[in-house]
Amino acid sequence: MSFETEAAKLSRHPFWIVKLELDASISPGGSEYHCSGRPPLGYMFHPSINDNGIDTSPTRMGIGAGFGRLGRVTINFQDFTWGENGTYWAKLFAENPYRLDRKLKLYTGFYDGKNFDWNNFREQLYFIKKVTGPNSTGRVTIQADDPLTLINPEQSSTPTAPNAKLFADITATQTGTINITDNTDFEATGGIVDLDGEFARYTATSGADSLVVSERGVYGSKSDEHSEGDQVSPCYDFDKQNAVDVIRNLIDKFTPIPIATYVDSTDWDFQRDEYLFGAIATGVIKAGQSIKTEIESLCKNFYISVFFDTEEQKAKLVPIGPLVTAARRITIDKNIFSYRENKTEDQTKIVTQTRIYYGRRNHYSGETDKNNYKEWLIVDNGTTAAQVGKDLVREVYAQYIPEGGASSANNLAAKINKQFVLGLIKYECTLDAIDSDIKVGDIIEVFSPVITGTDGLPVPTSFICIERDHYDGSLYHYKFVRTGFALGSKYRLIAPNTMSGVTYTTATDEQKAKYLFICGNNGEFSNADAGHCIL
Amino acid sequence: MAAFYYDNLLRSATVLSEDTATDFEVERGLDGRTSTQVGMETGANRDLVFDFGSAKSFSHVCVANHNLNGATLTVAGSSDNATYTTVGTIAYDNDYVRVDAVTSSSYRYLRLRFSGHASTIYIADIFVGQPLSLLYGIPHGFTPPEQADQDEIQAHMTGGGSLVGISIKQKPKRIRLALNDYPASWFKSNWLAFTESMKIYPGYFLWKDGERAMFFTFDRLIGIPAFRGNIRQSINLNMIGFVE
Repeated sequence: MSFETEAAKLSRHPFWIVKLELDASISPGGSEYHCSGRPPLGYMFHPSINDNGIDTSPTRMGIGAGFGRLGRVTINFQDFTWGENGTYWAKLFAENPYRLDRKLKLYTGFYDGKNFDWNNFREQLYFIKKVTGPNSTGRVTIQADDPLTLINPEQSSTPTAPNAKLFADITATQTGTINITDNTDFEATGGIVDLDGEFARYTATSGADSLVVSERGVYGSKSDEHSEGDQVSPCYDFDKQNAVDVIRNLIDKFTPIPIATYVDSTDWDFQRDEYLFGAIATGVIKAGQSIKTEIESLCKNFYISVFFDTEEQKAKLVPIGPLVTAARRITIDKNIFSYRENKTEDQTKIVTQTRIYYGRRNHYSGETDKNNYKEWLIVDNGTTAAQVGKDLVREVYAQYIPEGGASSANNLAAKINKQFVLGLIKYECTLDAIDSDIKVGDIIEVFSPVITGTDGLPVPTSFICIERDHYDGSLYHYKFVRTGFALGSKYRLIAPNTMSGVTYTTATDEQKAKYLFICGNNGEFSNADAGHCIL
Repeated sequence: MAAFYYDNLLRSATVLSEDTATDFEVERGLDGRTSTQVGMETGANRDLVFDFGSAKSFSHVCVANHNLNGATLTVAGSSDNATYTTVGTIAYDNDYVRVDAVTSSSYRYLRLRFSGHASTIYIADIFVGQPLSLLYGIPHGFTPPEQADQDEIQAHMTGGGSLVGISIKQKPKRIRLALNDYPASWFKSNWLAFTESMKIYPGYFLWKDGERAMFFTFDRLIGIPAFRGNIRQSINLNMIGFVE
């Protein structure tokens, strides 16, 4: 049996199980399990989850904006007597005075009251944030967030060195061994140091209180004199590294999230190598900076989304843009429920022109100062400005796209223009559990009467899934955002010269889907197939 | 005859021995919860032996939420914990709740011997005791528990009219039982002990021999007996529980 098998059955019995992983347990067997209905035999599940007592607020992917919204679950339990005196929840909380960020696992699946099988359930991991109750009616509410909550600013930031100060005055050009009061928080193998407003490169630490400085005024900062007692701080820099690797390193190095457990590195590598090979980033992150904020800036620069898939238990990284493969089509006849289907348009989000500022001069300051960027890219969005009647300009300060990063800037501008040519268009609908294989980040094609052409007939439209809410046993509510890209859009490398003898007309369908071929000056290949524009 | 079964002799007895599995000790079959169960692994005989402290009368054995299908329970009593006399043998099926009569007996020691099970057996509740019998038959308007189906069904239809699936939320059964024109003496003799026990533990209700039993508790208010001519009293009982 499996979740998918049970979901595909016409008649299903939804069932929820919650496991609390607190510091101490009071139930026999050492585990605190709770369930939504009659507990199965052989398992100690307290049937204390109230009817309709599970409210999930799912992860919402931010389109090219970093983390979006964390997934959250709120569960209402009913208290019950436990032993000679007292109640279960009161005793459990007394045994566990600290509950913050302890694990809560939610299992959603199916149980018919007779044959219980863990394989029929999907596990979702959360971290406890808030506990309310028990109150006078025995109601207990637990609120928990998905694992990316561990990346919140109060928990994840670049390290500071509060005790590191200059031991003596230094000149504006001084290099070599520079004494500071404490070098404990600096990398022994070298890095970037913030000398009270100036970035300098050091190659090593020396002893307990020195840095070996090799270069002053790096990353465009101004080399200056500094005085004894000035603050000295370690920084984290990346110079022309792939943005995917930078984001992963930041999570690994500065957050409590275990990469091996919660990051699908194989998929991240695939996304990097397949779609984000040109996303080269350069920058410096100062001490005490929020990792969440920095990653979100990187995501905005390269139009990437990062979110936690609570069912796969992995942090996902998705580049927003066209896919080369065909998308799953959902239709009003076979998939889409008649209720809660909706389309919204926000034309205040229309973009008629995108301006990308990149090639940052001084990485220490001037993040939103246009003059601090060497290169500007301004791209009009077709004829939209004339149609809308005014210019609606989107400005992006691409602080991490380095000088010479024209391809990344072009890519970013093209994606923004394409997606917002008609504003922000959202679509939401409810699907049965049998269609729940559609995940956040997937591209789908909608065929519904709420999106029609001038002839009144449904127009297949591609959307990217940004939210997936398993809200009522066998139902999933989805939210999508229009990508603006037609299915099958080409977004690829020019093929390397490893296909000797292969031309467009002799290439296989797989090769045609993967590589770009140069068409004739008339925009067509020799067999009259139309060429594609390179984004 | 219709009866309640609430006064469980096992709860006040001492457990002399138990062939139970780890974390599934016999006390978990006596706490009234469906989440905790007594469990016994496969084997020729698995015994639970109790000492009542003095001779106690019993005539019925009830179980709820179990997987005893195919297993046999042999109930035996003893006055010396050495020589046991079999008072009943019960063969189980898939019924979620069972109320079975054994020979009405009075013994100090009781042995429950389970045998014939091919896999580990679990029982959420075990009862041994006597019935509180109702004086009269079931009145008109009574809905047998197994027919009081409260399950919530939701059909999922697409905008195009296709039925994609059905969700079923299993709900406990709710029934209403009227005890009409009972003598005041019946209430004086039974009502206080019955209701005090029901405030702590669920009980069993069998509305007719051979019909399905219910593992139940009261749904909020127990109810107040209504006097009729200072002689007869009536009461409505709102019960909630499981049957199938």
